[in-house]
Amino acid sequence: MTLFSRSTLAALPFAARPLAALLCGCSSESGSVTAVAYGEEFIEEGIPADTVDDGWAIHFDHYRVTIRDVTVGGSTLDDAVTVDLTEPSDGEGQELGSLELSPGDYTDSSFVIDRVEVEGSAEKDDETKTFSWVFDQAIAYGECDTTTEVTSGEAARFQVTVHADHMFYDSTVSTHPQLLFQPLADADSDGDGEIEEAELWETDIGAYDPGSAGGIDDLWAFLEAQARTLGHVDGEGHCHGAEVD
Amino acid sequence: MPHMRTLRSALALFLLVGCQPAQEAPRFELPLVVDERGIETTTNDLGFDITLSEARVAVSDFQFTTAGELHTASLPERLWSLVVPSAFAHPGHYEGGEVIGEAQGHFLVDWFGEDRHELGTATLITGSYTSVNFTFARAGVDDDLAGNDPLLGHTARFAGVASKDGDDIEFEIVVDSPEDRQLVGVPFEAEIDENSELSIGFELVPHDDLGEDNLFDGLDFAALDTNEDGEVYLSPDSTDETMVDAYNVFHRTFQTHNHYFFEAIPEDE
Repeated sequence: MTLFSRSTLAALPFAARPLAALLCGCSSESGSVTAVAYGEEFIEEGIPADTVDDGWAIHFDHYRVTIRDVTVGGSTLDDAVTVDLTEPSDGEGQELGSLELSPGDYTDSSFVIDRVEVEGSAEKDDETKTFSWVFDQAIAYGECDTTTEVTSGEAARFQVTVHADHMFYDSTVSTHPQLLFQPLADADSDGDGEIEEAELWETDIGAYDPGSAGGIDDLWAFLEAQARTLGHVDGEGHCHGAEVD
Repeated sequence: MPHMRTLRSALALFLLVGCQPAQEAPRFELPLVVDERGIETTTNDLGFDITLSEARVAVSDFQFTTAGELHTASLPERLWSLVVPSAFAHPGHYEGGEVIGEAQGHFLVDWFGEDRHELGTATLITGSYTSVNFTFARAGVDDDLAGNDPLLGHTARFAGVASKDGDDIEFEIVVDSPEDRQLVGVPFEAEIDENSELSIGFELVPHDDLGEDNLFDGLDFAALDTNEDGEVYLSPDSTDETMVDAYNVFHRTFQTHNHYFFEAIPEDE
């Protein structure tokens, strides 16, 4: 016998549900959340030329992200997990771990992206440029705009969605940025076909818009700024991002 | 049973209080004026003394904010939403502070027009104001411009003289900003309530003393005067690589919050 039936539990205020579930004492009342990371088709299959405003097609050989502290409903996956988002997943993403939670709707999700390693190439006409970049500034994403619904005996999903296209936006602030690769291709100053970090350091951002605070004048700093905006949840859900140690 | 009556009374009181309409924050209006005090001859990082003779910018939709991030359940937002619910474009993802006042509409700011002419009216609630946001716009026929005004269709126009080593170079710079480009975080430190007798001045600050940078930094006017006629013209239509680079540098600086300032000006000043 339990103190609360499922219907009673569902009728309780949200805040009272975890306590009620504890009082209930039956494991069948709990649910789980499977956390995954997904880079969408843009990372698994590439960004097609007709999507990029200047006609470059972008392909990723590897897109490794290290994610830690995935938190949903106050429960946290402590271990950092590195996944390669280029691995085909049929839309499922790469699993990061699983959390046990009481039934309820959880809105206080967060996570940290520790590191992003991007290797790939871009092609336009008969020109090919390769790149291999590492962004190791940890970014904590919180106050994410999603609700994770946990149901008794069922596995919910919480998806850390990585938007690869943000890295190629021409503005850090516009709501309608262009998706460009040509300025990065032009930064290959030694013409060896590889766009290196040092070359990006030496290249002015040109017409790119670094935002109201300014202070970003070279393309590497611009890419670093864009890399701080990659993390989303459950597709298009936004989060607040902040640098952390 | 007495305790049941007490419980019913408490419940009735709770319901009564809970059903009261939320108290509206006092809303009041203050004039928003163009403040020319920030205009002065300044020197850029390449040693050119810059004397402006024209500075006009088309903007829209001022937002007056208080420190901190916007949270949908925060008190200032609830207060403000009672009076001007249209202020929030992206609730929950807005990094420019919490909006507690606004001046909606399209404005053409002319820092060489009539002194302290009124741009419009700001609608505010009591608070500690810390910054202002606004959106860059394009000047149009509704701005009472002559049909051949070079600002028409553009965001801003600056003109003046850059002087160095005894040489004067006249310059004109026309700027286009994306029409959705919002400038956030322009300084505005003021405690304002419904009894405040003041106007809000909008200044252009060519030289930012705090950041020690100049609106015209990076512009080598002598190098840009490629035909040595003593005139330089920069615009979004520039095609020469040197001119394009210079335009991009200016455009970037123009769109930072370092070169604008808002100040509460007492009525008797």
